[in-house]
Amino acid sequence: MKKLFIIIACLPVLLAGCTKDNATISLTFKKGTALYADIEEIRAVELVSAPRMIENAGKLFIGDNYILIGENGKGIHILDNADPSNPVNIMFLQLPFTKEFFVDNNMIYAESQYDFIKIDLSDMNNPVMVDRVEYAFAEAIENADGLALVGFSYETVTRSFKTDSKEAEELRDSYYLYCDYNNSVIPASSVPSSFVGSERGIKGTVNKIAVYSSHIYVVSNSKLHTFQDSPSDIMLVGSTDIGWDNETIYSEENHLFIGTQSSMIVMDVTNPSSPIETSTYNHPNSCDPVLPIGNIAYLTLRTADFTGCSGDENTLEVLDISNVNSPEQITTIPMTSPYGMTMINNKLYVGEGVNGMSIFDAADPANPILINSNTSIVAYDVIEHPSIPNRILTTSDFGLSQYEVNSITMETIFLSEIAY
Amino acid sequence: MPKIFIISITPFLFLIGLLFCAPVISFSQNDKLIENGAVFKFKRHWYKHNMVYGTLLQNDHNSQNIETVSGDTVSFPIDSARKYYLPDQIRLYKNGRYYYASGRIKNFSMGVSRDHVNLDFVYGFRINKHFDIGIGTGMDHNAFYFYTMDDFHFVNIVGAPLFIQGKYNLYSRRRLFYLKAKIGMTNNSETANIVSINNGLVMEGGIGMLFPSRLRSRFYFEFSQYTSHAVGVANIVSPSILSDVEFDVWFHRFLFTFGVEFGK
Repeated sequence: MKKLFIIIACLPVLLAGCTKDNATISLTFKKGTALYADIEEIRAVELVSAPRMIENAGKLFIGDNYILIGENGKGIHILDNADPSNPVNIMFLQLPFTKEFFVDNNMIYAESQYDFIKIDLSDMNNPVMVDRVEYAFAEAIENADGLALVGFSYETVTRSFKTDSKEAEELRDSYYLYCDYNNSVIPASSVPSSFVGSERGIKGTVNKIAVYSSHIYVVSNSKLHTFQDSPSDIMLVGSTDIGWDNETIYSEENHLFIGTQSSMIVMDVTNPSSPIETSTYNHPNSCDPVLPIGNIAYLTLRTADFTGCSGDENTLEVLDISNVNSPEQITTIPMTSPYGMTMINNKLYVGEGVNGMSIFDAADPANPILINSNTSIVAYDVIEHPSIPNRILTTSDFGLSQYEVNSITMETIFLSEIAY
Repeated sequence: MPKIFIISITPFLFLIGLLFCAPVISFSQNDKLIENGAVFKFKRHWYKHNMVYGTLLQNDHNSQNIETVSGDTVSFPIDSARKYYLPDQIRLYKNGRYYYASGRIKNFSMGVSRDHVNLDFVYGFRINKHFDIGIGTGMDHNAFYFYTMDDFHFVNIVGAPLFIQGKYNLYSRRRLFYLKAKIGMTNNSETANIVSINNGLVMEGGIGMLFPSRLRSRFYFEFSQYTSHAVGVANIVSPSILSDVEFDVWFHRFLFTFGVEFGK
């Protein structure tokens, strides 16, 4: 009889495997289907071509007399902005599949699929490719025909699968379900980060590339890639795993500030070739550009309702980074939908997308005070003109707009718009 | 932020199993069966004890004679008892505890498992000492979950089942074990994030043990395998889900159930 009781007592152990859900769910989500091409053909494309229409603008850079506008996945438009009221499209740089680029000292640093490229723009009329680091970000993923994975075409699909299937597992790690030529799931972790690029619609200068002390830092979804730069070439010196959902990077003195969806990571680049993580400031899930200035860092946190960023937060956070080993929150300011920002003459400009632009008086950097909120414009990002005071540029779905800011009333006066 | 949740209740159920089995393993001589046992519960102040039990020696309308476990013989008229259980109705032990051997039985029980709880009421009939049948209803709550990039999402399903239940009672020398089976349909409700849902099949089978008692009620516990089915549509708020979520789910649960049975 005692054996029977022991069996009963052990039943839970024997039968616990019988507790499970056999669940099939059917839902609509974004699927990325692999695109393949001959990588050598892509690399052989002529760099400079005639100007063309701006169709799908992405990254943006403002020079003294020129403006660079990224054409998502295709290249970079060069516009002559000597006359701000009439910018002229003068050239197009063909960089297939490029989504991220950065400009420093008349050099363009751009990702192009697996490669990292450096272009000399000293002579604006004659850009020259200085160097290309092949397979800087990943080894090529090839299909059965030997063609390399060069990107994804995105579509909205409705699909049924088990909750313990590979599809469900991948949607846990990515907003998209990536599939190869066989329609088999590709793990998001295997997708080169440069392919993901700016699919969330970030417009403007919110960067994934930063420069410090002859080194270029490129942040991908999960890694920080470090390149050593010299006048004649660039060289990959290392790639560091820094976690998931990395979105932006900004260099300030000897530190890199990396914005992820759930944190701000600070990395010490005293030795520029070997970035070392010094601290992490965690915050609620959201999209979050970082702007560090001196001992203060500004962090905009934005929610899911707008561009696929998760969380429930629309705020401007002010952090004390005097001790970069332990950033501390000073204050949190509620916002509507904060995107990119810039600091001009102690005024903090924060783009709020379709909800306009807010201007803060940051004379006391730790305690910015809202002084103007213009809801009549659309501003995903706000960019300071490099040479003309009181001139700002804003990006929107419709194009790039230039404004004059009245330094007393802080009112914005429209100058021109480059529609795209 | 790490996503933490309980993925197994095995240790929990194992401890409960041991807890309930421990007192059962220790027997005493008082647990011996009384042949031809009967129980009489008296009206207030009629007899020095509220209850007398033992071997029924004589049973007629005028007089009942009971030989108690101490060897005394007690005689009393039947109308002095407010309630009595004759040998064909109960299975009596020397400590005065007994099982119902026949008659109407009502059960209230609560079952728990991972992401599951159910409350059942069964109105049944013990046909003989081996077979129970009954009809039941109650409330079932089941949940399944899945992840997206931003969160993990629970789909909670609440239903009111209507089922028939059968039990086969196995008496050891001193204890009553039973095998149980039930089958029915659960009337699933559109609650919380459920946009629409169909009714589904519900089934359960298991083994349990009933504890004898001197009272009208007696406790039981059981381990069982539960299965129910739900098909519906849930509204899930997530930036990566662009539609309502259709689901077709079979819940398989290993249940621990605690209940109370009431007889006449």
